[in-house]
Amino acid sequence: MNYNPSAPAISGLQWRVRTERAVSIAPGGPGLGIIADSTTTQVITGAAFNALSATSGGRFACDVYDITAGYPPVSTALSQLRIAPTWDSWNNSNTQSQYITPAGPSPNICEWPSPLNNGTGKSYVFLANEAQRNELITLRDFYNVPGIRIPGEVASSYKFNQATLAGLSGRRIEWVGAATNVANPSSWAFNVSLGIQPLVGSGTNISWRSIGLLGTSWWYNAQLFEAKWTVNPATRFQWTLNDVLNFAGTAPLNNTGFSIWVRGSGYGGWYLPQFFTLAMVVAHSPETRVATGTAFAGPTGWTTVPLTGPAGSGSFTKQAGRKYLFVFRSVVDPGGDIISSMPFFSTNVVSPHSPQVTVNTLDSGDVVPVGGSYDMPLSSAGVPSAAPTQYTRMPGLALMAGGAASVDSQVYNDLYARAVSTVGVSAQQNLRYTGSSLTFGGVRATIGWAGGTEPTQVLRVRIVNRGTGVVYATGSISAAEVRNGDLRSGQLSDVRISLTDSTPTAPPINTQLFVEFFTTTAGDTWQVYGLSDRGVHSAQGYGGLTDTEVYAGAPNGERDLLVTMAQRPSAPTLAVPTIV
Amino acid sequence: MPPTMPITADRPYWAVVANKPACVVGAVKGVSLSWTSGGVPAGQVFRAWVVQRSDDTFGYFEIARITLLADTTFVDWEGRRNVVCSYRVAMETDSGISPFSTVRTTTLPGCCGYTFTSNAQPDLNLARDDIGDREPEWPDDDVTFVPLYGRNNVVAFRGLEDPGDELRVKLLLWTAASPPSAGLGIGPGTVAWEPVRRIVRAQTPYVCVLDENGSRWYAVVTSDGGGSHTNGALSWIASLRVRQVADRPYSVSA
Repeated sequence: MNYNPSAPAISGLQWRVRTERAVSIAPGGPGLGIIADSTTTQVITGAAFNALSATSGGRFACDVYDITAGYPPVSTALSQLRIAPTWDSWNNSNTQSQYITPAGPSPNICEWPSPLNNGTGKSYVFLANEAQRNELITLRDFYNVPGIRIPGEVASSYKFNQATLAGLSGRRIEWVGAATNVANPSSWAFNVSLGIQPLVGSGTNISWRSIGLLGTSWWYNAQLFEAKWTVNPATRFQWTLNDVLNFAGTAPLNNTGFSIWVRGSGYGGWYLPQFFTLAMVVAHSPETRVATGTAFAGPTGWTTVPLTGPAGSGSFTKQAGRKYLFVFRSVVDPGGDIISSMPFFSTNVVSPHSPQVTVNTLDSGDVVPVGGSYDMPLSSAGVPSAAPTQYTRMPGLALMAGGAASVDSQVYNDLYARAVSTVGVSAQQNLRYTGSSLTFGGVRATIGWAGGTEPTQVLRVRIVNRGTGVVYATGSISAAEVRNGDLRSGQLSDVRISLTDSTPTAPPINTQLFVEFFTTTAGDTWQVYGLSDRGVHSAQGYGGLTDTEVYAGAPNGERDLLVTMAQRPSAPTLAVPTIV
Repeated sequence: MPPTMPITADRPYWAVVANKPACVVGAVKGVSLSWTSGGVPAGQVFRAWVVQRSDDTFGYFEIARITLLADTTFVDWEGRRNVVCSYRVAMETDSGISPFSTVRTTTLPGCCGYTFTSNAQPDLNLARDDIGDREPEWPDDDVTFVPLYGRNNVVAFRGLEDPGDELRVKLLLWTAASPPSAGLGIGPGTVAWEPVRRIVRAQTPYVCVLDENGSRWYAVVTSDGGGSHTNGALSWIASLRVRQVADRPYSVSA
């Protein structure tokens, strides 16, 4: 990746570029490097970035400050850091660009993965800047990650394009998109905040994020930005804008629906929307839409998106083990100057990263991390007064504590391992997991059997820490859950295994989990094909084949696992211990 | 146990420990386990006995993986003292793992102030009283305080990792009542420190350090040196630092 040497210089500022990944990046070496340091010009040479080109998953952050005045910089100038692959030209969809705003909050950190847009990396860029002028942005996909499909319906300057990203796990809300100012590339800003509120909790636990950001005068292409939420961790759901909301557990999360809170903000009156509409579709993954809703925000901002169920009930009830898809389509109508400026509770937020992994081929036993993210606990009203308001990833540091609040910086590094072995009545598949919490929404499997005998009983499933024996989730497969299969043909296709998160306590970091299949009849022979860990995923990672299907794990999505269940060995008999 | 008599300038510790009881040379206790096989299913290949222990709130951890079918015994030295330790065993074959055996429990008695041991190298075993106050430390992890624009106060960025405990242990290695010759078959001299030096230089995943109160640290032990004192009564005292390096046991392969 090269940094564009033509980026405007800012007098009196100093650029620092650093990486957070243990890759060798000259000249700073692993973890940290200052590659440019100047009091007179701020052009960053491309050398260090070139060093990134051979790596995967690297990430670097740019931090700008006024070396004479410190934070915040006194300059109001706006500068930009751009990165593009060397094989491509500037100002196209492969260009990654990032503003550095001296006037913005500090640390003004922008991050890119590396390599960018190459099919394996993904970008996180956080823009933290006060809007200067108003302009519409269009959300669009900026990734070329296998398994992620973006409709690409950039229809007008007043639409947020749907961006479908791969799933996440656990109590996390994540939104990633790219913004293009197509209406007026010379204008800047448009800020929109989206929030989500589970009605459980009587109006508390609203959380919202700013998702709007800057346009540019000389840059026409996408900026990436993201917003992540954690609503009330106790609700244990997640929401990714334009992605999957994955419910864990069996208890109904909400019988009355969700409110989606929307507000916009900006300055001035240029090209401002009269209002915008946010449409939300809640659907079972993958096929059934269960609720829809729309809302618009007036000048004052907040509004609610009521959900309308299939029967017009305005509500839906979460079903155990289901995954839900929230699709947001935001349409901003042209109009007057009515989205007023408003403060964002967090103007310098989040750019947690997900581990970037390149695994081109998989062998038995491979462990493929598919990403990760961090929870950010929020308190009521969306303003994490006691909890962290913002955090960012810094080299060697991972989480942030705001005051005395509890720190919840769980790292969801779910993964998917290729599997494993033939096992007994207990068939195991590795699910190596390095996070500190994990939520299982379900496991999908295609099941067949040998010997010509139909399975007559439920095939039970559990996720167990094999080291400690702790069972984190249990589930079962029954013929009733067959969706596409034909029992008589000897194969159950696309069986859902509903797993109940039986242990709210997070497994310890680096716990190795196993998906364990077992029957009650020793000697049964089963074959399990295509086991995927849907619902056991995080961040964007790999997967997300469609906007309704998310398969975390392998770049190629679902993989096959052949498990022949044999007789399980009998337990040994342990004698009474003696002290020696 | 630490001496009950206060150590003051006019009452140095060698005077305090001059008449320490015999437990100054403590014997390390272990839990001996044995089991019988439930049989290897036909067509399957035995891989290992999996021995697990649970003596804390974190559940069972594998402490040994024994790859000989006929080897059905194991001695665990690392169980917490004065705490109920639960054990279970399972057979692993190429087709899976058996259910675990019935859980058996036992409680290891606490002997002395500190016990140093290792399942990976049981001959390191050493149990001694300590003297002086116990003052464990919790090393600070890196905390960076960052002021953020538009936000009062600062934000603290912390590392995710637990840096672990650190103890400073003044170990009463020998006394006149229990001289080195009793343990080593040799007289006083630098060799008297050999038990400690072996622990400090142990090439094991960790040294398991236990106290009589049920605490346990999977640690690396370093030495600040030692001293032999003849003022009042002969004693050998080693100053050790115990730094926690692991939070779960190492599984011994046999």
